[in-house]
Order: sequence, then structure tokens, then C-alpha cells
Amino acid sequence: MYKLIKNPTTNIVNIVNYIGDGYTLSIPFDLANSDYQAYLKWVEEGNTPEPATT
Amino acid sequence: MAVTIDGTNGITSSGSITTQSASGVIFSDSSALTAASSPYVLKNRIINGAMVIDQRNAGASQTIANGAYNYTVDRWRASSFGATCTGQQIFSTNQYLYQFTGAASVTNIDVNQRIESKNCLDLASKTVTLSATIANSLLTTVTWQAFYANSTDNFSATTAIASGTWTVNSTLTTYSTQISLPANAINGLEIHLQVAAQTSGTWQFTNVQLEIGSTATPFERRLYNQELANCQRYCQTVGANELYGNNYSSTQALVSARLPVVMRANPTATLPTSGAINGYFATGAKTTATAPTAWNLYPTAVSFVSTGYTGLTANDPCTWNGTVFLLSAEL
Repeated sequence: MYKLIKNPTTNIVNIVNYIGDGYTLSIPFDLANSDYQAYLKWVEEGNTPEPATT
Repeated sequence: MAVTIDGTNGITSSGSITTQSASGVIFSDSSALTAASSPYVLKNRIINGAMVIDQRNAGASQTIANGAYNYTVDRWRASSFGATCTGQQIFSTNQYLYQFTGAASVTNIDVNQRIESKNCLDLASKTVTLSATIANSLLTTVTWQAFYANSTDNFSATTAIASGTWTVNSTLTTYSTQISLPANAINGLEIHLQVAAQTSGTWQFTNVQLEIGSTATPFERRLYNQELANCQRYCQTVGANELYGNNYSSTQALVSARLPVVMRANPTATLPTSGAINGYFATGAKTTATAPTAWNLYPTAVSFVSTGYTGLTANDPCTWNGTVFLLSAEL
């Protein structure tokens, strides 16, 4: 499951968390990051991440 | 064959020149060269080919997942198919190896390394040589495969270049093959080693090398610190008294660390679960109230924030320890 994360001070979404079984991957918005590439592919397939907590 | 000796050009030859003496070639300062050195330094495009660096597991045995790739020793990702098996960095006869131990129902084990574009762009449209030292106590065939990334440093889609097999035995032996790379190899390469039904016994490999040219030269052994730095471009850990910062507010503590090696990209951070880290503040030690969140993740520095405290004094110093954050900029 992916969940968007806001920077707690700027309130700008700059990270997406992948919540696995007993761990969390914090993935930065960087096209060179392979985890972000996998996230974009997941979105392209029609999936939607959980919105950031306001 | 014409051999010319003159005082201006020295010795020139239209063919090869062979020295019959064990003394090799003696220079004017009396130094001797008894064997040819490799034509290249830093020739091996495989990182951690000697299986020396193991930041994630520190030599401990790990389960190789069934149908999902996870990292083993640094830079090497592996998956088992059909069933899980185990893997472990081992030390034997003055060298490190990576060893898979087979299990019932295993149909394949695949291990591979991705090489970023910057480290192989000069290999495009050239012949390269792949070599590896391998032993298998059960099987006699190891398959090698080479792929290129369909776009620069993005291996979500790849194209096969070539494949072949080595006939192996239970004694560690070095095998090699030549691969003719296409122009698209400039995007990055993925080198695989694979076995079939490793239902028991062990599969060991080490000294994996990919070099330009059509000759397998001796394995290039890099110093530990150099290879660690090579690996830290893709994976490193931070924590355990390395994270310092200040209280951002009465409820938030912010810590950061400068990374010893610039990472390939903004790294992914593996976060600990709530309560797994300890925050130390001017008012005394407090365990984190909520799971930490990555604040900024850059190739040169990372920072994290934890919220849910009460009674902190803004701008007071703080430090975190008790856990390690894994940072990954793998391909």
C-alpha cells in the first residue's frame, strides 16, 4: 500500500511511503530512484495511493 | 618478423617479442617487470564481485524469497523460485563467497547485478568478457544472461542481449564467456547467473568480473575501503549516534546526517516501527511517540522528523540512536 506524505513543515507532498509487512519504505519523488519508478508504474496501472494526512 | 634496434626508437618489431628469462624485462633503474600487468585498472564493472561487502546482513544467513528479489551481499539481488532457499556470505580459503543452499521444490535460483549507465556507457557496441568463479555440489549447469535497460538506468523493462551456460562441478573453478554488446548497452546492463532445480546441496560463486575486451584477465581485487565506498553509492546505513538535530517545536524533533558517500539518487529510507528509536533531549531521554517520517532524502544528506512529543523546548539539541536506517539508491 502506498501513502503520500507531506513534509511536516512545508506541507508539500514530497515523499510516498510504501507500507509493507512490518516495515515502511520512505520513497522520495526522484525519477532516478528505482522505488519511485516502481510507484509510477503502479499508478500507471490505474492504482491510487492513499492521500496525505492533512 | 623484422626486429629493429636503433638508438632513437629502441626496439621495434612487426611481431611479438618474447623474453625467455625469468628475470623478465630489466629497466635502467634495475627494477624488473616479470609479468605483464593488466592493460586496465578499475577494469571490473561489477561492484562487489568478490562478495566482500555485506551491509544488509553482516554475514548472517538470509532467506531467499520465493518469486521476489531481495538484496544479498551488496549490489547482488537474488530470488528463488518454487520455494524459498537460504543464502549467506561465507569465508573460505582466503576469500569471500556467496553461497546458496538448496531446498526441496526449488525450481530456479537467480542472482543478478545491475550496472548503471555511467559505469558501462563506454562498453556499448563493444565485446566484453564475463568471468566468475563457481562451484555447485549438486548441479552441473550455470546459466549466464545479459540484458540492457530499455531506458537509462530504468530496469523496469529490459531487453535480452545474450545467454549461455557453463558446465560446472563441485570445485571452485573460473569460467568465462564473451558478450557482444549492442549500442543500447549505454542504458545500463543487468548480468544474471542462474541455476535450475537446486533442491539440495550448495551453489557458491565469487570473483565475478565484467571487463572490456575478449580476454578474461585475472580478477581485479579492490581494497576493502574502496569497494565499500563503491557499494555506498547504492546502499548505506545511518543511525546509531549519527543522527543529530534540534527540536523543531514542542512536539517535533528533527535530526539529520551528512552521508559519507554521495548516493546515486535520492535514496529510499527504510523506517523503523514506532518506538524503535530513542530520542535524547535536554530534558532527558524519551522514546519516540510516533514512527519517524523522512523529512528530506538527498544523495548527500538525509533528515527525519518524529512527532507526537509533548513539552519539548524548540531549538534545543537532540539526538537519536538505537536503530539504523537503511538508505537505498539501488537501480
